[in-house]
Amino acid sequence: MGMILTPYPVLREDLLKKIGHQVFDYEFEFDDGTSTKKLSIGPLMGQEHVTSKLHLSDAEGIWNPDFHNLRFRRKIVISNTHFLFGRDGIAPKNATIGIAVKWMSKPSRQRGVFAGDSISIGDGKTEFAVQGELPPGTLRDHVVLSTVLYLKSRGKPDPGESHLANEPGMELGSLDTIVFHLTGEGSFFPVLTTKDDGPLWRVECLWDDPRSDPFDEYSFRIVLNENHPDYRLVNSPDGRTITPLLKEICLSAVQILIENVIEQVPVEEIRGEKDYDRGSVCDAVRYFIDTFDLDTGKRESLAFTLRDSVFRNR
Amino acid sequence: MMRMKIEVARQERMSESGRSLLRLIQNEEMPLWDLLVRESVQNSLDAALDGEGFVRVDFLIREFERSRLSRHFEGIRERLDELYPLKTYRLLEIRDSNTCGLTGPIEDSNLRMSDYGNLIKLVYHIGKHQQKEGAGGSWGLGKTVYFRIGIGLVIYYSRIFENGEYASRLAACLVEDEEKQDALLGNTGNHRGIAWWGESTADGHRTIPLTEEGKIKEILDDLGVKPFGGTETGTSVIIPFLRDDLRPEYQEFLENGSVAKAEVPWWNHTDHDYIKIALQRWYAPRLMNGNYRHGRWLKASVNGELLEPENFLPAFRIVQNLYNAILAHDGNEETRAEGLVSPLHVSTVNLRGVFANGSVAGWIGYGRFTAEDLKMTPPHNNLSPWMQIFGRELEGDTNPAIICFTRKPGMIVNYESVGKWVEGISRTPKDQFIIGLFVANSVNRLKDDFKRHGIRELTLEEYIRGCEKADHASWQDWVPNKRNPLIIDKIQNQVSRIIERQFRDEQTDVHPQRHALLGKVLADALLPPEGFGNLGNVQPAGRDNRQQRIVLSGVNPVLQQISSPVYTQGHVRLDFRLVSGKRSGIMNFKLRAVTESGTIDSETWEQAESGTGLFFPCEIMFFKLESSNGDERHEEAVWIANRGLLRQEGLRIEPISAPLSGKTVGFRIIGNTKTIYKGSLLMHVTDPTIHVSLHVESATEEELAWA
Repeated sequence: MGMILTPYPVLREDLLKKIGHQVFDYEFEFDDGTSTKKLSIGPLMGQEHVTSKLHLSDAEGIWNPDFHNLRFRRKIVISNTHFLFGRDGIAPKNATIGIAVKWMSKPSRQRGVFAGDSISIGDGKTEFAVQGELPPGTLRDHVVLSTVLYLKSRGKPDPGESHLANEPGMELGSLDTIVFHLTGEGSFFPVLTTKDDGPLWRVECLWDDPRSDPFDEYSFRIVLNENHPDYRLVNSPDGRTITPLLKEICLSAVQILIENVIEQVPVEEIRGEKDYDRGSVCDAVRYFIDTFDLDTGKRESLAFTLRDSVFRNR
Repeated sequence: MMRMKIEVARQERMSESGRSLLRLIQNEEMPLWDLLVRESVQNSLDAALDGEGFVRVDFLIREFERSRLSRHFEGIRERLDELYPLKTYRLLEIRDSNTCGLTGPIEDSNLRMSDYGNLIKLVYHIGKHQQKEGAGGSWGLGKTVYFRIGIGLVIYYSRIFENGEYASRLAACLVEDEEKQDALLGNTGNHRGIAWWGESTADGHRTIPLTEEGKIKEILDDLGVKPFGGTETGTSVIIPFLRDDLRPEYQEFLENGSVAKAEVPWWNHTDHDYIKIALQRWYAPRLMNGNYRHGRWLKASVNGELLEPENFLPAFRIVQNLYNAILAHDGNEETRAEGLVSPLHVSTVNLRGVFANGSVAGWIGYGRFTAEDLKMTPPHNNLSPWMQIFGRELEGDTNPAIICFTRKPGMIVNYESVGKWVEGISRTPKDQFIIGLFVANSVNRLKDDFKRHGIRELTLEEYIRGCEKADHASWQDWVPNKRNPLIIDKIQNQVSRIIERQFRDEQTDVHPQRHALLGKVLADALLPPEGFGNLGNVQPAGRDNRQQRIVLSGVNPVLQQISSPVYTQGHVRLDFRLVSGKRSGIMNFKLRAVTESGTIDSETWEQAESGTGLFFPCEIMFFKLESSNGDERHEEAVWIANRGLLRQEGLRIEPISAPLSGKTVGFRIIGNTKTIYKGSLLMHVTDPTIHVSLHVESATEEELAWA
């Protein structure tokens, strides 16, 4: 195993304590073509205590790094910047230190750096910012952001400072490194909205092969029509409550899903977990049947058991 | 005069007869000229020499003197003269070059099937599979078409380069309906309509091809065939007594039962014009197209006249443009081609859950073309694409889309205007034509669940080859293992979906959007937390632990920093702790330079070819190591640059030097297992921009053996 040794001093625990720094959360946003929308940061499931691995999502689920940009901004406060300079610091007293964010997305084989504000000794500034924008198609799966200090402009080293980094561009250590996951395996029930003159809702079964096509909105979807006068009965004011009408829509849609799938794949094969992919449409149907103890023998018994056990406690 | 010996295939159990062979090729709809062009060119392309450039195929129709042919054929000479009394008849020669020719053994006895060469497969065996991936056929029945366009007699002449020498071969084969009144083999007793001519084998039972240049030349001269010369290799298939009825018939059946003359396209008047159009129709992607990617492109001529893309019929020019647009596809969905007003679109066809390497099944290039694009307007006045492609006009006021499809060999498998490829694509007005070309991503592999056990891998090319019937005119899904991958079905669905989406009216083109909040709330109620979706809030188990894979199990030595390094100008001092592993007390402690792509040791760094050729950017000036295992026996070693080892007690260290500069860049430490050492190091840094990494590892088995 290796231990990295820089040829000049960089930020270390002891120095970090002295400078009294505070890094704020990254703020993310993107443009959807008509307006700028915020992206929110959340912890990973099962790793809620971890702050270096987070996930990034937008409330509407529109943001897709293939088609949308990603803009970020971050505020950093360093109360005692003078500790960064001089013999016991990381740069000569009259040099300038820059703050930058290095980014890297290994799955897309892309990396780069955004330079932000500068720190000079004695200018009294304590608040700094760095921002950047990545064009659509740059990121895939996850991106690692690292806030770093670097030597921005050379100083004239005083006696006792000759060991310090003094070449522009030299990295002087990192404040933190965070992995932002863009996609993962978190479940999403494919419910979409549209605005047209049609009925309140419709269900679309679009899979080619239920054994291999993943259970997502490209295979199966409930489309709710926001223009319909009854839409207010579907969507609760807080958007988080499942209204009785929405329950009925979901149950009817799931019934159609199950009936269509078991027409193509015998229910014994589905329940036997044979020959289909994890996360596929078949797998979702297997989950529904097993979890909610559904009776698929007759249409009416399926309708009954769906209503008897799904949404029971909601 | 050279007379070839005859070998008549006798009636045997389970053997094919001429009659059954002639019926084998299943496509009854395709005109014979089209079948012939498809099969013969495919044979030539499959025999292409390795390397770049083109394969040349020349179609030649000319007259020959019947008596100068018949005299070379033992056993049927009189019969030929009697049945074909005219002095001259027509023959077709299909001649390819830049191909390997009919290579392989000339006799098939005592050979395993895998050892049959091109010669035996083409001339002596019918119905043998093609083994080569990317080859055109999978059934090997295509060559029966040669026997259907004349009287069943085919002469094969080839020049090959094998074992460092050029050699020529000539043989003839007859396949005829043995029950026919005027069968040529009628006088030869018990026969099944199949015979070969050549040289007798020693036992006199069989024939093999002629190989003597003099004898071959005599026959070639009589047929007007130019011998291959110089370094040329290739094959010439000569079909004498060419039929006159190979072009499709144009008749229109009127409602009252009478027959009227339908509009006949200009190329239907002569065989050589028809061949030219058939070449364009089936080989547009590869014909005279230097952009073709999967091997040599096809250079073809008919009666000495080369086919040039500017003279292609407009529909086939478009097919070639679509093919080239797919090759040049860079993610932009729209491109333009010279001479076309309408844009060309290219989309990737992705299938989920089927392939091992990504999801790309192929590409669809398509466009909605106008009468101007298709040069149907004055002064060109071309016939409609329906005539060009299908040879007939389409009834009705609207046009369905025309989709064609191809794989590696660049032959259009077929053009479809009905069925799954075009279902779901809205019809266009009469003066607009949607033409699309699907090109399979031949190199993608099917997921392992779809391949049969024992097969290393199944490429999409091989899968699709398995989808083609003997006439290569359609694709049908099949089941390589237990489960049908339904690839063709899905490709067809997507192709029609993609095209329909592009040309559907804008106003209906509203995409529903995800309702993220409800989707999550419903997922909480209906689905398990993970496994059905791609939300980033759940990451696959284990993936984030990858970086921490190195577990301190105690087997390997471990290096730890005790305090912050101390810097003075050009020097770094570091105190560290080194814990030797359970396995060995012999360790290599080394400096490595850190680069963007990993760390590099001094040996590689100082090498001129694979490294920088420069001196390593740092060196060790002072190194001290002492055991700190409490009251056990004390071990210590101290080394200083220029002075060497100062002290060594119970512990040996040996400096490791860089090969070019001789700088000390590490130490071989020969100590004890499971020991904690304290160490300190002074390093001189000559290039302050380069970070250094300290490594320690157990000596290898080999090094241990030496020690």
